[in-house]
This record gives sequence, structure tokens and C-alpha cells, in this order.
Amino acid sequence: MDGSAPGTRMADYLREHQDKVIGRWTELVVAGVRGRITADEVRRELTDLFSLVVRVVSQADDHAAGELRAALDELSRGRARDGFTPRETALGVFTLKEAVYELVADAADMVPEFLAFSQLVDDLGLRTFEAYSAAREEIIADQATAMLELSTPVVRLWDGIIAVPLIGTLDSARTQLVMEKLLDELVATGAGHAVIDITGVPTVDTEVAQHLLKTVSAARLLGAECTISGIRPQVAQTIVSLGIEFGDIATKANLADALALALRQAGLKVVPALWSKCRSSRSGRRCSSPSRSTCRTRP
Amino acid sequence: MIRLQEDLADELAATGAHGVIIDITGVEIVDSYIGRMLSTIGSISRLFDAETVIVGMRPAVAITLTELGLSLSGVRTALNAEKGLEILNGKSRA
Repeated sequence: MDGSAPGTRMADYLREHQDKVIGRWTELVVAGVRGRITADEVRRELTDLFSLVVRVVSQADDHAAGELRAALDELSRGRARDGFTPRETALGVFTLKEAVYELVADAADMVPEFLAFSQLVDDLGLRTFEAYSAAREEIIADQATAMLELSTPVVRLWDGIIAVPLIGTLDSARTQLVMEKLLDELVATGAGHAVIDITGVPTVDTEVAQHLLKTVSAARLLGAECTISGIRPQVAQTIVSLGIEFGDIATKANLADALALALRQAGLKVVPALWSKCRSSRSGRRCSSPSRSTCRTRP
Repeated sequence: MIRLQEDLADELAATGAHGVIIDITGVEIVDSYIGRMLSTIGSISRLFDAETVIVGMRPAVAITLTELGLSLSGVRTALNAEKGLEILNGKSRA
């Protein structure tokens, strides 16, 4: 054998035992992922990887290293998106060492080559992990964006009254978005009243309260009146015990009360429809007003 | 801003107006100085028994002022000139 190029010797050795190594490698990987992908699929992936690894080890061409990295990145990203754990993903590479070692163990003269090979595999393993976490972070960022878009609807409750039902934990980024959307909507619709409903906000701490206050005062600067509604008992207790002051901002227990307040401030009144009055007078109850009232608000 | 302040004071004294509407639709950038000047104008007008309404503030401007901690106390705000007039009319009727 050619002793001057240890890489070549290792590559030859790997090529010679290709079937055996891939077989063992596949076995180890399949055991690690507990049947979530089939052995055939694993074998196909690993055969591709193996041929790239051999090309890198043999140092025959310069493109092999780049190709191997790309293939590994692709594989790790796939694993991350399919919900594999980092351990399962990294084991996919590290088990190659084990598979090869089991063969090399008999041949004492291969030790230096195996050492170099082992270092290569370690590098690849680290690469895998980097790609894995990058993919995971991408997923998280995508989800955060999707959530931001989903979680900040501005709805029109009445002519001139809009509401923002907030759901989930409030942080600075979200509050900023809510504030911008609310203000844009106020300007676009010319609404004079806004209701911020925090029924879906699990906890209100000083930071969240600060954000709410900022939103309200920004809306006031535009000339719109803001009401905060949906304060749950626990939240009310927290607010008081934290010593948060909402000042002159109107707060209501639920959205209905807030809407009633906004209607009143807008000079509107909800009156019973005519037919229900007639029915109530027929059933013997007092008919409060003989007027031409219909089921709508009137000034 | 100083010019505006002086002109406004002169005009208020001359006409005895009871309301001032400042339309800042065209203002895209504000700083703490402008925020303070708006409050000052409000205070000056009040000395002439005139109420100031700032109308047409852009969302970005409102956010900036809030972040700067300015709430323009002593000045009323409205979404547009029409609503600003409503506020002033309501005030004069009351």
C-alpha cells in the first residue's frame, strides 16, 4: 500500500469495504431514529454521503468538500423540519465513526489514518449541528412572523368604534405592531373610539401595562378615545398589587361594557326594536316609549 | 416655530378668536422641541381664552411623541379638521 498519502490509503480502505460500512452505518442510524424513517431511505441518504466522504478523504478533487457540506446542510435542515432531535441528527454523522472503527479495530496499522478520519467526522458532526440549529431558528422566526400577523386584527365594532382583541403574551415587538395597526386603522376609518380588549392576555406585568399606556396615549394624540376592556379578576389583582395606575383611562370588565361606553360617548343609544316592544306590551308589561324606534342606534 | 408662535399670538390678540386648529397632516417627523412647542402654543392660546386642537397627526408622529414621553397636555387632538371644528363648536356652545 502507498504509505506517503494516508488519505488515499483510508479512501481505498473505505471504498473496499463500502457495503459493509454503509450497512453498519445504516443499522446504527436506524436504531437511533427509532423507525421514523425507513432503512431504505436512510441507506439511500447515507450512500450519497458516503461517496462524498470518500471523495473528501481521498483529497482527489477540490469540490468534494463543498458538496459534502451542502449535502449535510440539506440533510440536517430536513431533519430539523421533520422534528428530529439534535441528538438524532448528529448521531447520523457520528455513527459513521463507529461503523468504520469496528472494521479498523482489527487492522492496527490503520490507527493514524483512522485518527484523521475521526477528526473529519467530528467536523462534519459539528457542521450538522450548526445547520440543524440554523434551520430551527429559521422555523422559529417564520412562526413568530406568522403569529404576529395572525394575532393583531383590528375589527370595526360600530361606525366610528374599532376594537383590538389582544391574545397571547404582549412583548415590545408585538405592542409596537399593535400600536401601529391601531393608529393606522384610526386614521383610515376616522374612528373616534378604540377598545383594546385584553381578555386573551394571560398576564399583565408592569412592562405590558407600560405598553398599553403608551398605545392609549398615542391614540389620544390622534384624537381618539381609548378604553381597555376584558380585565380578568386575576389580572385586576396583579395590576393593583403591582401598583400600576391606569390614570384617567377608562377600563371595563368586558367588551360589551366598553362598547356601551363608546356608544354613549359617541352620543349613540341602543334601543329595543319596535316589534319587541309591541310583544312586551301585549304580554302585559309596560311599553316604555310609543315612538318610531327601530333596531338601530340613533343620535 | 417661533414665527408661528408670534404670528398666532398677534392674530389671537387682533381677532379675539376662541379656537385654534393646527393641522399637522404634512408633518412627518417630530422631535421633542416641536412637541414642546405645540404644548407652548396651547398654553399661549389659553391665555387668550382660546382652545387649541391639533388635527391630522400621523400614526408615526404619535408613536414618536409617545416614545419621547410627550402627551401634549393642555392641547386637544382630533383625527381631522372636521372633528377639530366639532370639538371647538361643542365647547363654544357649552
